[in-house]
Amino acid sequence: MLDADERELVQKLKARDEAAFSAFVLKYQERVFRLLLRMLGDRAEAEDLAQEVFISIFKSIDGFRGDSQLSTWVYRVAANHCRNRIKYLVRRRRQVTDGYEEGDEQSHANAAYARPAAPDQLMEAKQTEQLLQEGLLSLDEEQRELIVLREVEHLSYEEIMAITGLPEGTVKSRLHRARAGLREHIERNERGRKR
Amino acid sequence: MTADEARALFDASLDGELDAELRAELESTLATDDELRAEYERHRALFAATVALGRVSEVDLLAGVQHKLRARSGGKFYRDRFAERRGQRASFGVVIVASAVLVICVLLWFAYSSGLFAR
Repeated sequence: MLDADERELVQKLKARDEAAFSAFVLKYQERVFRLLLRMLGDRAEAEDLAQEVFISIFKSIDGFRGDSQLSTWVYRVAANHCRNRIKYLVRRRRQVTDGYEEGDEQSHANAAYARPAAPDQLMEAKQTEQLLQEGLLSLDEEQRELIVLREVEHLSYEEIMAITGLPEGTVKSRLHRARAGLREHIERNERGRKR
Repeated sequence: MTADEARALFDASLDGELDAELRAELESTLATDDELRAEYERHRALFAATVALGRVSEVDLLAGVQHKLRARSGGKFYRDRFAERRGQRASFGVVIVASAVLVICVLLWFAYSSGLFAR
């Protein structure tokens, strides 16, 4: 399953090689952060949890047997932490939508287009991103996770099955319902704006 | 193919998972039903738009991870280099003082053994 580079990296991580761990964090931080940001909808929360994910990996790397890709295992650890954090946040009855990408102009620029965009295009991209993020947060946690893994992280069904532990049929049917739910949210919002 | 059967194939179509026969059947159904075609296009546009969710501003977690690991491991991992240097200086000072004391002790012993204090 693992290629030679990954095997070497895992060996170094198991030896608690600090330089290797730093390189590992730099390699995976964007993917982990993006997953958590889209799941939680809160940048500060996602950053904090992403750090906890890496600390957890540092501690539990001995448990990685190498029977899946390292990236799949990392996503699995991140998804598990995320589910626990959501439960914790629900218990605290916290509004996770508050502060989403707040004051982050660079993010809005990134979310627009690679080429320089006119202000109205930037605004439109920002609105689209915000609307989609709200739509994601309106889904239940399981559906949201599947949408993020498939549509944002572009993972294969095999990888998603390995991360979630769900059979293919369940992944596809839940994903279908999630997409329908997301579309319904967007259309409802558009109808509301037209009125 | 009914409209509902066609709707059930939207996702598979967008995932590129339909075989040629089903794809052709879906296409012909969409061609005869404007409302269904519009629904399909909206579905496709939505998932083209989800690309925006994949673009997030840069994040740098390393310093925070190192700081937390250092704190939680009691300084075992990612030891603070500044503190380490200070520690080295402190231990160097102890060695100097200990060496000086040792030299003084040896000199005193020679003085004592040579009868310098006997007078």
